[in-house]
Amino acid sequence: MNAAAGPHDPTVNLIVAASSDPVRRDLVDLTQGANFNVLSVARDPIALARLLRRGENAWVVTGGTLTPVRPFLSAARTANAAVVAVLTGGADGDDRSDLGYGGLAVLRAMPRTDAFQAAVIASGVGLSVWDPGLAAPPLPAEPSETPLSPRERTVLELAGAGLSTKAVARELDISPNTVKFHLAAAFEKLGVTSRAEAVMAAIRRGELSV
Amino acid sequence: MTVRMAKATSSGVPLPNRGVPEGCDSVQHVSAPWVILGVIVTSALTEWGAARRALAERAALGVVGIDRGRGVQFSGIVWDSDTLVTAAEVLHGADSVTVQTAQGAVPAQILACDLSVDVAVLRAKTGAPGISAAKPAGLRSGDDVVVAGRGRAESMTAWAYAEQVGPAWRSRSGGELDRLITLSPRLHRGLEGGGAFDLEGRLCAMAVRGPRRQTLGIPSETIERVVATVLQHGRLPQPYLGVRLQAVRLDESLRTQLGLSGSDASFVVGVEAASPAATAGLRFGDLILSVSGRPIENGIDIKVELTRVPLGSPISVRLYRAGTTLDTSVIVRERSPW
Repeated sequence: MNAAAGPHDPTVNLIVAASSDPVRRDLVDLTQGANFNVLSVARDPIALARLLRRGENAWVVTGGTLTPVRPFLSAARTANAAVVAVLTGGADGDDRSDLGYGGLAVLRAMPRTDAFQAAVIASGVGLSVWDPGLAAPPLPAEPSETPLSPRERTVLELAGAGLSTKAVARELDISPNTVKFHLAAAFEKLGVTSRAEAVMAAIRRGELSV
Repeated sequence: MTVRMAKATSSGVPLPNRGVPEGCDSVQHVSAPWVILGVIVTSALTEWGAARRALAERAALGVVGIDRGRGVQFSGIVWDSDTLVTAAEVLHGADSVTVQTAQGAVPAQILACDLSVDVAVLRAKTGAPGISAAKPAGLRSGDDVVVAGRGRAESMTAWAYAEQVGPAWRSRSGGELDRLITLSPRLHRGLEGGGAFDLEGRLCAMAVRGPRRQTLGIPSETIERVVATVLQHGRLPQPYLGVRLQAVRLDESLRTQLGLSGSDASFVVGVEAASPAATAGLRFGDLILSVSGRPIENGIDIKVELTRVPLGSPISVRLYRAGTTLDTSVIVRERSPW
């Protein structure tokens, strides 16, 4: 483990965060026997957020079923801390698609000590680790970088100014169906589902002017 | 044990319809106060029910159904005798709609759709008196509201409560809402655009669908602001500067040097010809640091600032150009109509 922990910092500081006492004990047990140093223990997400805000450079280890783990995860991810989550029973049917990637390791209950240690190191360097028994969420779709066509931009600009589909069609001397077609294509490129979102996304991308 | 139970039953706990023989003095002894209490409770409940019904009926007078064709039906609020408001998201894109009142259908003209705050303003002669808007200053989380709307032929009413009531917030579309209101439980789709009335019968918010399937309340002050602007101009003004922007992350050192709190600034990637920005001399490569003294991280921030100043007035813009900061002002104009 010495090599894996990195030459500059042989010990890894951890915050063990879980609301249930037995889970917290199990997690602390897991951290024994390697170069882990349990800095502190958080009983609720608010305490965790406070610890992380103090700027301590620490990995977060949490565990339990998905529902109580979620708030700890979001507290840790808000603070950009690496997280290892050890999920216990009943998690298989849950939707984990919002957990995201990068700096997160998700293990099943009672992981092997070496697997746990490897997960801590991997999440600490920003990698994503998923236990093979837990289906990883689908990779987030890359937002398309395809620029809008000039026509799509014009249509979106007019629609964003509050013009109706028919009014946009009259303005550009095209059919309302063509307007809808251009809008649908623009939505697709911008990865949005409504006109308001499309206008905002296009402004953010520098496609529309303000 | 048996003795004590028998004693307890005969000495006070009312057990109606248990076939206690008439004339049993212990029953006569307790029945009178209980009967009186029962009568009071029943009449109070009847009164409460009647009050609730009256409130729902009164709320129903202030709302209409809106039909945008192809079976798309939602609700609207009678703001005054010839102005209606509804949710902009559901109305947007429509050319004309039909308004359903208790008296029948009337056509409506769409004046403006403000997508940033989800308020659309329409003109229609409904013949209804219009609602009285209350600043929902008194609205607290947990308060009951009656949400009223209208289907094609029937009125729709739901009792809900204010789940969250919070301070002013900015929507994802860059709209400024005077307070945060969410309603619970989630409402029927046909009630979108309908009014949420307090127990005094005053309008406190418009019910719309928000992100994550929440029911949001657009506060009445916000609606009032949009209606006033639209009625003044006859449409929604489109103030603009004429710049295309991209957010860029600044280095820590530059941020400290410029005294910026945020991490991003807006990089000008295009200036429209003959636009206010072009007139003021903004050019490609400028970094917009602040507008009206407020830090700008992206184009949406600028959009918000533009709605705060009257058309034709100058707005101060702080730029970073060629290694120095530069203060300039741009006259806010409306985008020329197409």
